[in-house]
Amino acid sequence: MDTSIIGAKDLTKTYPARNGGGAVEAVRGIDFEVQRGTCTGLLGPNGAGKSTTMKMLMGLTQRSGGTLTMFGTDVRSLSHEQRCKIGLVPQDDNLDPDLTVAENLLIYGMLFGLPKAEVEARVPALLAMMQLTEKTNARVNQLSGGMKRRLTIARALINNPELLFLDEPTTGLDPQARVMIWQRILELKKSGKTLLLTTHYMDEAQRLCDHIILIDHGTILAEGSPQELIQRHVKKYVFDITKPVPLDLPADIEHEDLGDSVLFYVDDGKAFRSLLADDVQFWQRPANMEDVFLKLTGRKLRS
Amino acid sequence: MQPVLALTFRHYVVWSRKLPVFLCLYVLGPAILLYGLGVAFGLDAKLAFVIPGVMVNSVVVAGFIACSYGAMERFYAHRYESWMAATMNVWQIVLAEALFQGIKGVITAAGIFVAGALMGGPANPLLLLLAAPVLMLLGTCGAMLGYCLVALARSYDDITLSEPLTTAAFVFSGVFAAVSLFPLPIQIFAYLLPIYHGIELVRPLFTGVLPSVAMLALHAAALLGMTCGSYVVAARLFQRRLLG
Amino acid sequence: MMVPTMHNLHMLRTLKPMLTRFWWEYRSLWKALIMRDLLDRVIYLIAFGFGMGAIVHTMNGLPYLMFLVPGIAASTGIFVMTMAMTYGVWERSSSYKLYSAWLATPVRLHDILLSELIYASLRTMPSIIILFVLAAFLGGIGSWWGTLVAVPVLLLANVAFGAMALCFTVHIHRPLHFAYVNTLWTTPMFLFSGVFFDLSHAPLPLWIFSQLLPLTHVIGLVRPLVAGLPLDPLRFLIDFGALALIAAAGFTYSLRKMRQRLLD
Repeated sequence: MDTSIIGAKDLTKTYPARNGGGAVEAVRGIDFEVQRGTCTGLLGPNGAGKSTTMKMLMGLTQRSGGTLTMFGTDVRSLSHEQRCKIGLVPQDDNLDPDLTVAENLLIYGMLFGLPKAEVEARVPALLAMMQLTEKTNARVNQLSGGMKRRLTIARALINNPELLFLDEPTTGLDPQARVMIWQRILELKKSGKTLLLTTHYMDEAQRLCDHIILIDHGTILAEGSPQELIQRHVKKYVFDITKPVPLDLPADIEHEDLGDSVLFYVDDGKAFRSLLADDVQFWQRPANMEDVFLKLTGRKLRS
Repeated sequence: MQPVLALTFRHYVVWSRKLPVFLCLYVLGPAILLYGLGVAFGLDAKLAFVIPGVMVNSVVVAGFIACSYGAMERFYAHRYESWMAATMNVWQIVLAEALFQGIKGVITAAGIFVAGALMGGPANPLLLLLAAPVLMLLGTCGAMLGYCLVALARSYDDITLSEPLTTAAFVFSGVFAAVSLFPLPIQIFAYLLPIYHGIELVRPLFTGVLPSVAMLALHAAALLGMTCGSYVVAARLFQRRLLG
Repeated sequence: MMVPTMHNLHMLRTLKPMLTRFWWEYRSLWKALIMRDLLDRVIYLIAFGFGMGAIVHTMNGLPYLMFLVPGIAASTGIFVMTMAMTYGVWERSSSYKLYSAWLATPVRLHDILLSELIYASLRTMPSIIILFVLAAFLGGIGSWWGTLVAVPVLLLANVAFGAMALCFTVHIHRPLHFAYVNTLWTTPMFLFSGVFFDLSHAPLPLWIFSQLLPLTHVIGLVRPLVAGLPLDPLRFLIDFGALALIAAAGFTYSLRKMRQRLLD
């Protein structure tokens, strides 16, 4: 049985030349699948093509080539019923400032063609879940940034979607709010929803995603579960040694200069530690997604 | 004072980049209006009467629009915060705007003056020079009223609430008919507006019908008071909006 | 005529919640909106009705006030609709990004733009009706039946004005530039469409120009109705058809451009 809910083949997006600049190939023929009931992370530096990919998935921009299916149907010809199975949390909160918190959810549910009574019945539970019950009758511009984000997520759930897109769901939020949103996302995953998420936080991706797609310059660099990616692309451990670095270390160990310290990537932590004299200042940690990300995309800053 | 002048210069540079838009709005627009009024009511003979009216109205409205819709746009774009981060206070920021809008007022008036002259109105540039101080005050005053509105507005929608006011100011301040034609409450309304006093000061230059020195002094004092007062209120309200 | 096909049923299904959204917005803003829309018109009515009325007693055989009332009523639409379809649409689509929120649901862009037009046009009705009632007290209404017919005519005319304003909106990238629309479109239309004076005495180039302005034709439809003058049925049909055509063409064009702008 095919368990994929999204399938992209040779997906391409080229923005036409504008203001004297040449045409921009934002996405250059990528292939991927999203499996039902999983959380897939779309990662990449700014300008890598992940926002464009998200936009194509959400039907907010037309693709230039390739195929893109959702529920087995071309995204351009999704039926009304299929559209109703999709929820969207955009990067910027685009809540309706002319309506109250509850009205925002009500209207949004009705836009999906749901009867008013049914939406009304759903609103209290969603507001409770996102801890917004006290703000039911507040106006959107009276909410804090974190509350707006939570309301945007609640709004995306009003139609009880099977497939949920989360575009940087926790960017700009405080640690408490992030943890709360992570909990909700994990609950949603447990309840069987399929999630597709973008983020710049590697800890978030590692914590939430079953499958990660790393893209850069419009192509897929690597794909797999967080553990697979770490195993495949970096060593098990990272040693962060404060300068001066001892001169007697073997030259063939993979390392990277960070300025005031040097990172060493090794598989055998014990053996490496035995090479270090007592007065060397260092700390050892397991390798993580951040190491994979920086290794594969480089440390050079992006626009 | 140096940062104020720097910001004034910034406004000038930004404005000069969109000069075509500006000329269309505040010179071509009033010129169309002059022509329309001429055709409609046979005012050709009274051009010397109408030109200063249209001129004063445009100067005030240009300042007002730039600092209501325009300032709201800049507010949304967090421009003011960036200037405050450059250690400017709100009084300096608003003063820079006041200065620039005053200068812009004279340029606006010059454009309409040329358009009016081409239609057969008074063409002596000395008139414009004499009117310049008044026109400066008018541009500033309109701008400061715009700032007051932005400080109180919650959205663009609130700004559009000013439309009836600008309409009323235009039709009742004596632009194309003497204020004394209207009932007393409307006359009082006109007395409260800078446009009326501006017209009473500029029009005698164009028509050559000079009122008493006392009347001129009264209108000048009223306009000066309104301009300074609106600056203080605008800066206070805007400070509350930005910092409160 | 609309045949209830699947497509049209879908339209109703998505239009209704969009209109509900606007209705809820209106519910919280109606006082301010009526004040703003009405006040502007009443100011012109007073300024010209009394200012000009004192000098000009009749215009084209009509008492000046009766000449003025239908013109002012018809011009309500160009101001309100232009404002709503320029600043309003810009605010919802660009500053609040509401359009992309709505487009993430089964609602399509044509539903959004159509509901914008319908709502804004309905919104002008209270102001226009109050204006007519006010005018009736001042003796500015010639025929009540005609005025009653004028109301739905103005509703269609306002949809047409709104559709035209949308055509500007899709080409503008900064809200400051909407001021162009006021100078080059709304103001000349207000001055040269025969709101205040009879166009038949205007110089020929101006007369031709005025015939190109849609407001001229709306006034041509509404003035005889409100004043209770005999109506030329052929002319009525032509003007009415022209308005429907303008509304449809403006809507189609702006929909296409807006789609390119939002979705490419």
